[in-house]
Amino acid sequence: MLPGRWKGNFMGGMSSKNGFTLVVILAALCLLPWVVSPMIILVLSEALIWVLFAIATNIVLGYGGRITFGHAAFFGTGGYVCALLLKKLEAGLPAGIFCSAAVSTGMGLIIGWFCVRLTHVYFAMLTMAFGQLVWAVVYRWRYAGADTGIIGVPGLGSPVEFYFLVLVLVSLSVLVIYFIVHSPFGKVLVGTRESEVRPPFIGINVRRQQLVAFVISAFFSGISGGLFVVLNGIAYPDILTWVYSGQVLVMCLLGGMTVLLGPAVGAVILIFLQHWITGYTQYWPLVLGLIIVLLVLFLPNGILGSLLDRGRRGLELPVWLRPQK
Amino acid sequence: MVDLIITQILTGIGAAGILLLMALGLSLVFGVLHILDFVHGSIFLFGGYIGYTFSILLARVEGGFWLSLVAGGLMAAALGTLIEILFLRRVYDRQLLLQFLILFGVVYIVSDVMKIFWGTGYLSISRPDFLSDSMSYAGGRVVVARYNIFVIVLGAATIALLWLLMNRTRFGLQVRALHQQKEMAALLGMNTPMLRTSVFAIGSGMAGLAGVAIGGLGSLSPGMDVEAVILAFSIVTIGGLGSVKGAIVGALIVGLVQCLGLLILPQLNITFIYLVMAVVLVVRPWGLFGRATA
Repeated sequence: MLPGRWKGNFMGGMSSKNGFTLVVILAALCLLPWVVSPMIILVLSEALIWVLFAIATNIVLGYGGRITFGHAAFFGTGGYVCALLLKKLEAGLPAGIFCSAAVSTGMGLIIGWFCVRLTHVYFAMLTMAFGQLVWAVVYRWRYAGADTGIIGVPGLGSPVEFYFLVLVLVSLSVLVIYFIVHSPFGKVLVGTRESEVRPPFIGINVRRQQLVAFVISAFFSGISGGLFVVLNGIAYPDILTWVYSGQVLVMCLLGGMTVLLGPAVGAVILIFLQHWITGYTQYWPLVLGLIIVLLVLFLPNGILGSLLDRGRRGLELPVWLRPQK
Repeated sequence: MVDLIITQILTGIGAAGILLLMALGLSLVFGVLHILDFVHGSIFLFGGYIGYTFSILLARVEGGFWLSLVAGGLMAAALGTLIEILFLRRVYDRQLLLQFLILFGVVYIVSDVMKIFWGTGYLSISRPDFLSDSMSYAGGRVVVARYNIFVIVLGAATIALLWLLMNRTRFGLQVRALHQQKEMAALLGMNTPMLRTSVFAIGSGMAGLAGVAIGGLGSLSPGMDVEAVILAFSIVTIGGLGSVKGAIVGALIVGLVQCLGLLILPQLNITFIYLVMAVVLVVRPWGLFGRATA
């Protein structure tokens, strides 16, 4: 189903060395606001939000092995719920994010309930249909600003404060996802990805397993959507469309779907690249298209996934990238 | 009210003619190549833009519209051939996700290149004189634009030609063989890469014709590419992936839902289509006329 060999770990293994590297990366991220400009902190906040969305999507895509082409529905729902609460009901940020996650989870349960009955092309088409359905409703919904969306969503005072909020929430979420995919549940999920037929023989309900994964994924996508809207101060119908659903797939592809942190690498690279290139030219989609085509043709395992594969063949790698036995 | 409904139904069938051209190409490509042709919409828009350019160049020439139509179809087929040879050919034996993503990338590339050439404005193709007025029946209460009739005829003629090509020629026989058993077809000495390229080119050409037709009906603008392909996807999933009968019925359903939806609940006419698509996928994933294989 998916390219490459499966490495169901953070970076090919959660050894003490890898753990140490992750702590170093986190510490560096904490210190960055004193080193770089506020502009970069804003871009980094956006990248971190996409990191969470991409890793959440990868639960369904990489671990569950189902191609979802409508995950923006959960991202956008989270965003809209947060925007409505903060702007129209003047609720606090914690309540906003909490409700984003809650409503997205509910929606994931409803949409997932239908979707897990299908596989392959049909799963992709149905997720796309539901995604477009949610978009079409929101696009015409006057209370939510119809096609302009909700403008002027209040955020936190300073970008740095918000950055730390994002950093804490995203790190905690990724840690929780790490424990989920390494629990027996996660192993069984990978089992249902590999075969539809065999898991039932040992008493596993493939659909229920997939549904739970779908709902978990929707939960974290909702959180990231809520954060995204607070960051930008606006919720617009585009965040529900195929553009966002597709972009998150590209992030997973770029970083590598076979590693937990692969989509994170993809998200950071893509967001920084986007901000850098749009500074020079308006033809970012053209560059993005070329990147996608080249990736599919020459690096289908993604950056992190390919590095790990090289590592197996004995190429010298930094310690923290070397696959563990 | 009844007159209005009849008028809308006729408009709906006209819209269905264009949708059908799109959906048939998509269905053909899926049926033979097993690929979800996400660039179909981009090729559709490209054909329309080519038709526009030709109609400007040939504005003074007699029958310029027909030449534009042919040019749009042919250039779209050429672009399809190029895309098939450059990209698609390399991913036939790869995972579904990779096939889908590479086409997704091509959509971005084509749409930006088209923006460079044709800008971001709304362009429409001028219709030939005898197609620009409308006919009225029942004392002027039911009005049908002649152009709608032309679109219906174009759709019907294309189905007929496609049927003849697939069922009455050696080429069609080979394509059907490829569809049924690709290994056997290759073993019998058929040039399967060439057959695949031709099928993709034919599908693309049909999309190009649809593009020119819609340029005469309304206008062409960036963003229509993906809108159109998602609509076409909904048609073929409603009717059944890879089924010709399904594509016809699907196009009629979507065309009519769109036009009647405008009368009943104008706010929600797109919503209806996605709702129908979701319901069909949930109840009968293989579509109304597809076969339950996967």
